Amino acid sequence: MTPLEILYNGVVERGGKMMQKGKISNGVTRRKFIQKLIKASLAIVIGVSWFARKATPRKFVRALRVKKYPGSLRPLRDICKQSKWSG
Amino acid sequence: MCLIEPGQSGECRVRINIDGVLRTVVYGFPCSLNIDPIEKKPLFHFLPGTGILSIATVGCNLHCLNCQNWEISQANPEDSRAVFCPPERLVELCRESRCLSLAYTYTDPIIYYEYTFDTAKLARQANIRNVLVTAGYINKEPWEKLLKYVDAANIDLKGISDDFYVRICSATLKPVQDALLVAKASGILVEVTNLIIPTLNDKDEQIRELSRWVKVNLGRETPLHFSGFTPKYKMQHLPPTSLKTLEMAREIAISEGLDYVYIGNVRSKEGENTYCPGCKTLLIERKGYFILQNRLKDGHCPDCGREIYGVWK
Repeated sequence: MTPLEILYNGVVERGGKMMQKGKISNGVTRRKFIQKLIKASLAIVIGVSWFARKATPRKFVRALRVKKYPGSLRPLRDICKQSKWSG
Repeated sequence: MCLIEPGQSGECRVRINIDGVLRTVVYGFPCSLNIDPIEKKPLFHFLPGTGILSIATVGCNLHCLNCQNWEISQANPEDSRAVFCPPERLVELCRESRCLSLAYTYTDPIIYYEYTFDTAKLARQANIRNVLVTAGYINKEPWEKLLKYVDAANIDLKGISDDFYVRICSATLKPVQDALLVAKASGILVEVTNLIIPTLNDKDEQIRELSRWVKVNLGRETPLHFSGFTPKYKMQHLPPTSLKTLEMAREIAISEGLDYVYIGNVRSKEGENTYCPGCKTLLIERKGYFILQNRLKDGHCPDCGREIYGVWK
């Protein structure tokens, strides 16, 4: 910024508009702009990593039990009898 | 691994995606609960002559065209009948019936994993041994976690080619081989079963390759069972396995250097017995699931003193 751009009390002329020194547009300071930029970048990084984690298939998920058996229930019979199934 | 859409069940039919949460409908609901001779699993080197409380729920993660238990393995839970038996009750039943061990079998314990895991944990605390009879089609992480509570396993090695697993079982070979390696490395007792199906996996070379793989990767002491096939499910057009084929398979496996090779599902003069790999003397004589004589002395051959692989008491 050249001294000529400074008109009075820190007011500068930029692009034909009169602005307060340290502002990059009306109402937004450079510091706020950088803060917003950092927040947006962080949100993007967190969002992408969350999505990547979600999208990657997990190898081991413990299934939760259901209380009701979808088929029919029968009483426990004589367990001493050998099973008819192989194995 | 199968992707389960909301409201749908997986390949095994018993795991359901309900509003994004994976649920198992068979936890605590076995469709079969019986005491079998341990030789029926088959386990020949683990507490011989004892009864074992054996359970299964419906469903399976494989769909073998030759499945011997297809009525329960390929059944929908909605169409099946089960008993309510939570893990605590199973352990109680085991104690009441004085069984030394509990088997998770018939279908595949992998599809009722949570039920198996919780029961095995409780059983271990109660000094009851846990036995898995499985096809070993499981990822490494849950497998290692489960094996911490397991004492013995009979794992199927259904064939030695990926093509066989893909065509006949809707699965692949590599995960099964990996599961066998992990199980053996974990220190549990491992026995292997190969069901011989005429025309599909009964060639000399296939049996030789399978036996060699077992010997090289699991060790010569690993018992290998060749079981006879019975025409069932979608393979009723094939004949049963002949005794001659099974005996030929046994001879090949022994010539490849395996110490303990057995024949199952048929009566055989020598194929059901355990012989000492050192002095060749008869150690355990069996007939079907019965022990006719057991000459082992504290797990050693009484004649030459050689230690015999197994858990004997």
